Amino acid sequence: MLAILKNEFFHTFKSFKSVAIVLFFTLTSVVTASYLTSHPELLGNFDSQAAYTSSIKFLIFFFGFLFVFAVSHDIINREIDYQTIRLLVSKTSRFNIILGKFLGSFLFWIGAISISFLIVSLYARSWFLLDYLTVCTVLFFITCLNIFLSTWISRPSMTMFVGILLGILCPILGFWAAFSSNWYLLPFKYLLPYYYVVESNGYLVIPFVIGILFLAASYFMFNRRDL
Amino acid sequence: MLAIEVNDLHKRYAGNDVLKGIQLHVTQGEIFGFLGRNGAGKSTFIHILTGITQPTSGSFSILGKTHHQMERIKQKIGVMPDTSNLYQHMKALDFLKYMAALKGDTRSTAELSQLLEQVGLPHVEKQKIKSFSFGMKKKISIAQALLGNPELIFLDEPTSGLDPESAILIQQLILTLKEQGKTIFLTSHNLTEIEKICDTVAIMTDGMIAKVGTVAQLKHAAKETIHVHLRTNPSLDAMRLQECGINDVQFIKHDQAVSVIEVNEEEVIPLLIERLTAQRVKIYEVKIEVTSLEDVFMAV
Repeated sequence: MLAILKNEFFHTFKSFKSVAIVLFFTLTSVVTASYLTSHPELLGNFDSQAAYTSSIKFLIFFFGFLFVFAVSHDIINREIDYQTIRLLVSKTSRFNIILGKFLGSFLFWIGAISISFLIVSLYARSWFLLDYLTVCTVLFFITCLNIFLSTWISRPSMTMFVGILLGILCPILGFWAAFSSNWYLLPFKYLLPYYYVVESNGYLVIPFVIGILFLAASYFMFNRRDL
Repeated sequence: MLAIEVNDLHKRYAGNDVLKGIQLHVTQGEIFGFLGRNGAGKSTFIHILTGITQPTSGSFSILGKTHHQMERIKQKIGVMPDTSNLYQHMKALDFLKYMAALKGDTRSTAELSQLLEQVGLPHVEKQKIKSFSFGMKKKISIAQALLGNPELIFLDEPTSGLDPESAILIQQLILTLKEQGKTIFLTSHNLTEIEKICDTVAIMTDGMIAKVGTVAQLKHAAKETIHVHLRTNPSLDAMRLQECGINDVQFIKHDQAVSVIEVNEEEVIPLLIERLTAQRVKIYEVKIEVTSLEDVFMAV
């Protein structure tokens, strides 16, 4: 499992898309934090802590799905499509493959976001633990959903299409549902992490649990599949 | 002890029975040749034994572990898949390191380089797999199957596409592995190779094992006949052969100045030549062809 984790982590890091996204995160954090530090008057009565991490949260909440799907939409089905999965599955368990792939991808995003939070914390001379945990929970949910889609859909071109579509729709539907009581938005309200992020605190456990369910479903599908 | 024991194994794909009740035993320490035409179900069978595909019904055990203990089986086997789809972006050594890590093989970089040399790939450690030729990909695929010191190694057409020198190197490697006490499960379309190195052979057809046994047993079961190719003047025909007055001799064909005659026993050949010479038939060339594995395979 560790071998797969390590390989997936470095494989993700080596792609141009992921490097560009990490740089974008880092630059946005630096620019926002340094600007707010040099212009404290802009904060006014606004919660300064929220202001410092607002850019990171904005990027993850609105573009997190798109970023993760763009970089890792084919995390599982790429191996099935190229038949390299046969090299893995004849050496280790299917559980290890799913878990290793998930952890490799998740740790990459946690690493990227941790750099941004570290930069912001250094500028603000304060730790943003709750914001950090919130962002990590959302990333956990997205990474689990990504594993599920890549296992469920066998063609990488299809996961790219579905990924882009979901990357655009999920934030829109999620935030709309979070602040709406329309019955037809209820599935999005309770399935996507936005409502729980708005409610915050203990509610953040729920996207984590849904993520684990996505992972379990991925393993169940992968375990029964002929490769 | 049995390396592989398969009982009534079935596999059904989209309404088609690909495997129809396979029954097979492979003894530990032997080289087992597995033959079959394209689409006979060979790859599906290997995929099931190696955990790539799930069986529809039936059971199997490998090195004393049942198919419910697949993860323990994986620790004891090495698999060279049928296709050469590898991680193209990786360098040869990095690929082997990754595969070794998956198998829990802790051998050093120098030892992995040595393994590459062993399969005929010296000085390619830093080369990317995408720059490899088809034959080189086959070789590195064999190398990764040897990681983790497996007791049973599945090699799916290991020498197809290799130049003769490389094919001989791989055949020698397989024989060395056998000497080390490993069991080799080998598929190949090269029947001469199978005949040369395998202890036991199974022929699969239409999802079933049609024949299994040693090469000698298969040849014997397939009515061992001897074809005598004779270049003579005048050329032979059924009538002239009858004039020789020998039983169990049959004229098969005459093609490009060579007559082909089938005899049942080797002892008949000198008698046939003697009688033909007595009939003033000039014999310029004699070639004897005994039943080959190819004949057995074609008869299935």
